[in-house]
Amino acid sequence: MALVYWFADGVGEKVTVGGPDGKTPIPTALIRWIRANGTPALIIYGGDVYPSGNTKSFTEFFKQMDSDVRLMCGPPGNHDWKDDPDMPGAGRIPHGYDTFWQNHPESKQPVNMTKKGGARYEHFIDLDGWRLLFVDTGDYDANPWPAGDPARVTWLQNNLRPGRSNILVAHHSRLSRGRHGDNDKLDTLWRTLFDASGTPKVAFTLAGHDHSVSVYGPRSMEDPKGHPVTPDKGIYVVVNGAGGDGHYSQQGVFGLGVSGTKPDIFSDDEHFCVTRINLIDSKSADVDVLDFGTSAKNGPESIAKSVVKVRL
Amino acid sequence: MDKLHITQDDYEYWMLSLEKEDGTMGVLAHQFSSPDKLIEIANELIREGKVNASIVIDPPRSGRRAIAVASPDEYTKPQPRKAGA
Repeated sequence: MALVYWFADGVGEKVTVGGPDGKTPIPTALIRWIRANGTPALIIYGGDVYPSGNTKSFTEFFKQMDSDVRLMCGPPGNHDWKDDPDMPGAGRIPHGYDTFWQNHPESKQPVNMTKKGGARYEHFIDLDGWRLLFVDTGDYDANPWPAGDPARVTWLQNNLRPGRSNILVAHHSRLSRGRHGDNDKLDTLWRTLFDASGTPKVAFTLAGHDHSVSVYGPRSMEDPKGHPVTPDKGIYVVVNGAGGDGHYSQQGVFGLGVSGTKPDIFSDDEHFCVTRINLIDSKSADVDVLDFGTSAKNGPESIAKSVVKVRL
Repeated sequence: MDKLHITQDDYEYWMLSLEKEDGTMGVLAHQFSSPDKLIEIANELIREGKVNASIVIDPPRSGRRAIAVASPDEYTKPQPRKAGA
């Protein structure tokens, strides 16, 4: 059994404060609880180091993680791709992100120096019979995955484990409810998670981007925005961007300002949250949302309504 | 034209409200420690054509940033609010 924790969209400069003293950055309060009480095997920070993912932002991130990223990794977010110079041999990259993780080899986040662009950060981690595959969707607005690089599709196809004990991790989600909404330009990625007949090769996806929580029942290859399907025909979608930088409403004003598929399992746009993944064995995993309330003053409550029990 | 209001709530967090021409309002984002991200969001919403609105921004209350204020335990999602009110 291994416990994996996810939080996103909440570190860097000018993030919301709270915690026991009311002055602690929310992400610091979250990670302190995870380390003290969660027995983590892996902690994923799901991207966006505010405001622009530059070296100054990442210096703040490191402080907020109590200068310890040994158990951490994470895909870049769109804010990390704001610091995006063309570098000799590396192409256009999120420079602050790239530099930070290169400087922290003790972490779980590799930087593949032989590759260019977002492919440099794509990797997988095997834990207790499961494979977590990390892809970089951070450059979604300018160059959605695979950013014109078919080798990234091949890499993903070749590294999915046989069966369905795979978890896809990225900053953006195919489905999402909030200020950003569904990410239609990720359909290539979504379809890569199924075989030609539409049988899923992945149990669930993890993402953030929208500063809210959305949990969806299994969705099919052809109609992800449609009704949930049986677990053998679809992939669960878990979105949590409630990691410390405010909240995006999921209601909107008469359809304005909010978009995306409405979650059928759980949604929240008021609380700071961590997603917990309990990898029980190679065929079983439980996913739930830990609710830290509006200030992360105390420990979290597991939200019963949010629980997804994956049984392959 | 609709309006996007960037204001501080009672706890000095920053929030983004949308006011339609008919006066109906709703909250689009809340509990931010500075207005910067909300200004970015408001501009994105207009640029993407998701709303046809002007942006109205309140000055920081009391000259203080909300980041310096202890997080209130009783905070709840605020009601929409107009800038300048």
